[in-house]
Amino acid sequence: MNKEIISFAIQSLATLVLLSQIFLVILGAFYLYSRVVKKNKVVKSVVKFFSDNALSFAFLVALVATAGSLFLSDFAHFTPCKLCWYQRIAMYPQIILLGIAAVKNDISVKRYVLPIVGVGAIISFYHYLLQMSPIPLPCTDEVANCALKQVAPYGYITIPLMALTGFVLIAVFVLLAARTSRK
Amino acid sequence: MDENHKPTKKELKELRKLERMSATTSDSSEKVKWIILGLGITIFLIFFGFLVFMLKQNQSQAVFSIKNDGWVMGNKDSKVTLVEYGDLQCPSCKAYHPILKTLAVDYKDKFKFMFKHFPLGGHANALLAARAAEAAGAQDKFFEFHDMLFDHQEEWSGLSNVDAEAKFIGYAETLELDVDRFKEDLNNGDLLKKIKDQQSEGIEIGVNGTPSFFLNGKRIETPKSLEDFKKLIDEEAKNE
Repeated sequence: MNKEIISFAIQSLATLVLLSQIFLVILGAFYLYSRVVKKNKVVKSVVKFFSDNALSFAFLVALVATAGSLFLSDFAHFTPCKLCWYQRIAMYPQIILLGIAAVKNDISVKRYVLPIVGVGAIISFYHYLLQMSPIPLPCTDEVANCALKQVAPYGYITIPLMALTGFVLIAVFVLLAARTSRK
Repeated sequence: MDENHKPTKKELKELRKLERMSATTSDSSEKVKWIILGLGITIFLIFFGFLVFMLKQNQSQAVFSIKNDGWVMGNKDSKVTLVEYGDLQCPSCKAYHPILKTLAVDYKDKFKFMFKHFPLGGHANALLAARAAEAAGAQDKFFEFHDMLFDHQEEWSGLSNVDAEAKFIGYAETLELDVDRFKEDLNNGDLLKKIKDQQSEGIEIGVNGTPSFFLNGKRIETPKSLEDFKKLIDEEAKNE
């Protein structure tokens, strides 16, 4: 029974990640379209909706990512490896930073969020590379094996890829928020 | 002076702009923001809370039937069985080794201890060590060899497979085992299958790291000290 609940949770998390990636692609396409081809009212209002509430969305991303990672370690009992811990360090404080920023409408939070997110994203990217590349990249961990893919729903969404998607989403939202403030 | 002044001016301008913006759109967009935040957090809490609640409820009830195919120490007739899924190369299993040894002496009448193999993939010599321990077990010296491996773990954990094997054969000599038979049993397919079966059983019931302990089939949070082990065993003995 427990197994089913855990795999259901992981599947939901992976689906959320998949949807986020689709969302990012569509948003990117919208952006390019309005930039390169022409201004479009619908596109503009969609982008505006997300820009206006970008900090709130970024906060929710951090919330889900943190809860997801804690769920995987404390309920699904996956032991986090060293690289996982570094990513966690970059993700967890975002809840507080972005939470306060969202309530206070404080766009200047990007100065603090972006560097941390950048570091986290780099580590996630490396970790994902390490899992996916056939050449062994260094990560020595006595307790947990970094290269081990504990889960891989949809064939490619492993835990570090979930983290990377989270970091990219937060960065995109924070940049969107900063964009509206400039106008 | 001038340079110091410039950015402040710019910031002030930005601030004013911001104020103007929020003044014109504030009411409706503030509302939307709170709706998004509220809705998001509510959905999140319901979903996550539901999952955790379900898991907690199931956790306390889960009793697994664990096969009796591990090596046993202590009172074989006892109704209390402590099972360890262990990896002979894992440092935390080594750390638990003296605690369990003391426990086995102090509580030798109160429970039986069963060791089951769970060699982790990340430890290059773990499976080999398990096979060596089983090979010693074939000559009734499993726990002697198991102790030897833990006591000298740092000697062999960093070695290549070949060197580790030579080391293990040395240990077998020290323990006065029949070395030829030991060497043969190192490649014994039946013993390998036994190890693999124990590991698959472990995976089946949710073992994901070592050491993992089960008390009468119930998963226990890895106790932190000898006293914690004793408390748990006493409690279990009372309930039986």
